[in-house]
Amino acid sequence: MKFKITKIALVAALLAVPATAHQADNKKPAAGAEVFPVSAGAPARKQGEGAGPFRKMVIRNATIIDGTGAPPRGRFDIVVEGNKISSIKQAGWPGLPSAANRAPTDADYEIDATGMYVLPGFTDMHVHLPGADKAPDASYAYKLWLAHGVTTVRGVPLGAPAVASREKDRSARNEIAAPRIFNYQTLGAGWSGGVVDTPLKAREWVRWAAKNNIDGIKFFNRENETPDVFSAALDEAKKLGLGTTAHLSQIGVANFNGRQAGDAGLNTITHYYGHMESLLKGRAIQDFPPQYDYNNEQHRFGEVAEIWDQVYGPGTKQWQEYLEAQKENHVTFDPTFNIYAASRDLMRARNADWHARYTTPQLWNYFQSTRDNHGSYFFDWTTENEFAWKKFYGLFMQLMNDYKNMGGRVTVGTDSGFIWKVYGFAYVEELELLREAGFSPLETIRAATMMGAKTLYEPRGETPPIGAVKAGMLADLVIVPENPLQNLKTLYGTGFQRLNSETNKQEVVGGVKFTIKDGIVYDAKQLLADVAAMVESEKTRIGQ
Amino acid sequence: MERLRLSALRTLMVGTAGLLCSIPAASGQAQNAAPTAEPVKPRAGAVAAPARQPGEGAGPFRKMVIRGVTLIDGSGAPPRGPVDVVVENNIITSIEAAGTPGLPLVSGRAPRDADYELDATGMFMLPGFIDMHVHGSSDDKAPDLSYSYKLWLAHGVTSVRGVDLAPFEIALSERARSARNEIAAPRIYSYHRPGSGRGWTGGVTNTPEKAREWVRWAAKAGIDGIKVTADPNQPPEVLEAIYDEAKKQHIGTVAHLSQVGVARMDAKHAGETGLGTVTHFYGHMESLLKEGPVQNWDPSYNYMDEQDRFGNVANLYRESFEPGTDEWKDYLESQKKNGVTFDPTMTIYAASRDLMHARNADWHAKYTMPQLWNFFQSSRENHGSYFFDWTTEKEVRWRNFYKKFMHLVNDYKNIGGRVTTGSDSGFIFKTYGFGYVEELELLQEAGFNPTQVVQAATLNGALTLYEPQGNVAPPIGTVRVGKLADMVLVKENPLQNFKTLYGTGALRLNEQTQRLERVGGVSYTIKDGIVYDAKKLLADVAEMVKSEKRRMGLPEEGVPLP
Repeated sequence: MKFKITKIALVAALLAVPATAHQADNKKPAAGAEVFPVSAGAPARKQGEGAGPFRKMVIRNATIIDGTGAPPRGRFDIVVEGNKISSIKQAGWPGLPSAANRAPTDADYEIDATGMYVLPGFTDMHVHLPGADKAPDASYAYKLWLAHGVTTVRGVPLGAPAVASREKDRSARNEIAAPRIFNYQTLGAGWSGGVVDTPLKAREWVRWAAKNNIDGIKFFNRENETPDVFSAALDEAKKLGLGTTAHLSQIGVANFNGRQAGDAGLNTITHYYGHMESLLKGRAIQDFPPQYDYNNEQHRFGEVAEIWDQVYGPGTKQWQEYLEAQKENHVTFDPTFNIYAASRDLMRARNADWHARYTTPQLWNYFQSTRDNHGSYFFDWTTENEFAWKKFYGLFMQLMNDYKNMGGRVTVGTDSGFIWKVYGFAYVEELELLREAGFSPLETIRAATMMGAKTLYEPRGETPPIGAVKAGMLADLVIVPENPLQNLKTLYGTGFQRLNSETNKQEVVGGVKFTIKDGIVYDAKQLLADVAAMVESEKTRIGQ
Repeated sequence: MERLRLSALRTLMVGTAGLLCSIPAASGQAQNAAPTAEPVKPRAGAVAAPARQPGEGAGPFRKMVIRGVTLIDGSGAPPRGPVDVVVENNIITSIEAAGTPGLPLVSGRAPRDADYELDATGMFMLPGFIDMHVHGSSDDKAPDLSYSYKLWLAHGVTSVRGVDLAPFEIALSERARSARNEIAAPRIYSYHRPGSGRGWTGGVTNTPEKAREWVRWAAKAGIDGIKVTADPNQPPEVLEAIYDEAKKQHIGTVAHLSQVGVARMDAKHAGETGLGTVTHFYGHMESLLKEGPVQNWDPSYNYMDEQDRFGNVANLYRESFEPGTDEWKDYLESQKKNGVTFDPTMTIYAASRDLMHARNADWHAKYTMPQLWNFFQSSRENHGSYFFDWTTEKEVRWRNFYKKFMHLVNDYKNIGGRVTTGSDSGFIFKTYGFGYVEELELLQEAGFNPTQVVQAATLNGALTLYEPQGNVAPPIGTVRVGKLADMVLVKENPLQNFKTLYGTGALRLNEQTQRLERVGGVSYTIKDGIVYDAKKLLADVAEMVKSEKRRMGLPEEGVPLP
């Protein structure tokens, strides 16, 4: 029984099963922290895990894709002092050899990036740590993120408040090999003030949160998050400089959809929830079949897609107005396409290249469809289900693309650890999906870097120190041997199969070379090897 | 050196000429160079299937009854049942109600004198499926043709249009053996390329006169139809002569209007001059180009570089008129008026929009021959293995192109045009039989409702196969009294989920055990009154694959990844 509650609560914190989450909260209102399976974070960073930071480091002769949307330009020497980019100097011209002995010549560390591309570290705007039921410890996710160039994550939440707070600080001190962490928590999490079910309590919790190392709030539209409670929390968050992001689940969306949340001051809408519900045509509530049961996840996720022909479509006045209003409200869209992409092509997700080597056996088991593993809703997933999801995704992608085209902000988030999606790999898939939605490669990279940074720092009223390769910015960088604008697939840790024209044989190219976070240089291939070893050892332990 | 190059080139060309993508110029050259002699290395040959063994298929029976089944008859009629279907030898002789849904079956139902009874209570019966675009498993892909035959039968395919199935003489011989049921194989409709056939001594068919002569010769030799490509030796006047003469000889025509000749013979033009079927996507979008009849090739384009060829195809989506425009509608109306069949074969190029999906498909480990697997691997000379550097960009373009192509095919169905199901497996990560079920899924994705998909897979194919003979009431394609006993029996309702037709089944949660299990797969395929156990056919193929792996010194499980 206790085991069961643990399971439910875990789910609650993640993809949201608001009803049960609430029940769990009710039962153990003050015990939020202990229900998270990960109590310990990652082991401390060992000797040799990452080099630096250095008094002075030079990355030589690189082509820069700076994250702002500017076109690639090269060749440059990037000088990093401590954890900051101190200068970017031209090293030469395309097609000519760069001059020898270029200044500075007193660096403690040099990286020859000739022929390589340097981008800002990527920002993953929607993550959770794997629980003990998915991986031995948090380093599994951290290393996969870093290995795919992700240097900043927004935990929504990363884990229980105490854990997330500790991990955030440890990462800030670089005691662990991990991306920067933004600590978002759900309303009422971590405090001793009980269930948050009034506007007053909501404000109280937000004030408590602001004092307890919490950077923002993650909403779910749970039963107690009624529009008045939700709005009060948004208002208080704004006053205190906390960010807000919401998964506007079906439980509350009938009374608080994307448009209403945007009008009330919400910063980010994550996933697809709430958008289409703002565009319903000829009805105010999505038409659910009579036998629908939200807690039957095949119903929940099967029916999600059926909204595609119940809404005002692209080009209609309502569609335009919705987007204009959200832009006016400065709402960020964080679509996390990848996390539900299995719904339109289950076989692809199940048979992805990376599972064999990089998916822990316990995560693999978690992905298998059962009635109680959250997000494993493929009980009887038919051609018809996939068809509806393809239609739905077509529409959802167009909405995101139209928003980007009119100047709205779209960011990159993943939500890995569910529905066949593995940390890091899924981030690259998200980039591919933005490309599919109509974002050009440059627009995709900008969403992954500058746009995410803006959304993270805006609530604080700060200019982001990350998200662009520019003198004065923090030294969070990704160095890749292949041009990601030519092919985003080269960013996968498993690399990309390309025909070698000399041998007429396929070979694997790509993958991130180095990820630099806070001036510390991580060898991405080594991180991947660490993860592969971890997976191997878990398989041995579990006997698979 | 030059000679070597030429012969290598010829091998490539001739090897692929009969197959999906046609390299017409060179196939012509090969014939020019040596019209009567054997080419240096002939096109991939085909080894005839071994004779049907005792126990491979039961029947035909004097009288067989299939009891209590729900019938999806292929005509577009809704499912109905339970019925008893009586088959005498190879003909359906009666279909009678066996009861009422929700009530126990009526007991003691006639006939009582059957030699064979099949209890199909709870099962669904459909007409045998028709694959309108196949090539048999040639000797570079499998030990013999039975590999493809068994995978087709195991997926309910009881008729195939070979375009071509195998070299001329082998194909005709296999057709006859299948007709006599000496081999376990679908019915074969044998389409061939102009100029093919050892008995033809007239050389290249590059003038209308020669082309007509060949058509008359080939019709006498007994072919069912002609597969043409738009190539340098078959300019418009030759193609027009072929369509016309084929009509006179009552044989069919199907065209792959490849890029080499499409500028002068697009699909609209072909339809106007009498073509029967447009296969693949070629020719459609070229009929709808906004800026005249030649696609805007990239300056570095080289047709012989397959990544150029297949990468550029997808650009058609932005060079062509949009759905809903007058041009779009006029095109479809014109094709409908001319009675043209669209055989989109979406499966065969689907890897272009999602390579990982195709490469990692569930069935490769167990059912893909090691030599076929090797053939799929990208290289500059394996035909259809064009993923030299297949990027996110290329997949996205193909996704966009496919959306438009699907829209076209769906609109054609909506105005009453005929769409059929063809697979063209054996290339581009597509395995026989499995590729056919994928085609059904893709038609559904295009907007066909499940019953329309079944109609395309059965009745529509039959109509297109028999129309050239002047027969508008084909003996296959529907489950009706008087029709041939070609049928598929399945435990799962395919209208609910086409994935249940894959030989590997569909994953479903077992509510008792709370574990996923694989359900479905065809139970029985009946061809010409002979009952084949589909699971047994799959087991045969799996064993054949294992044995080839052993022979080649490969591990029996899985497939090697580069």
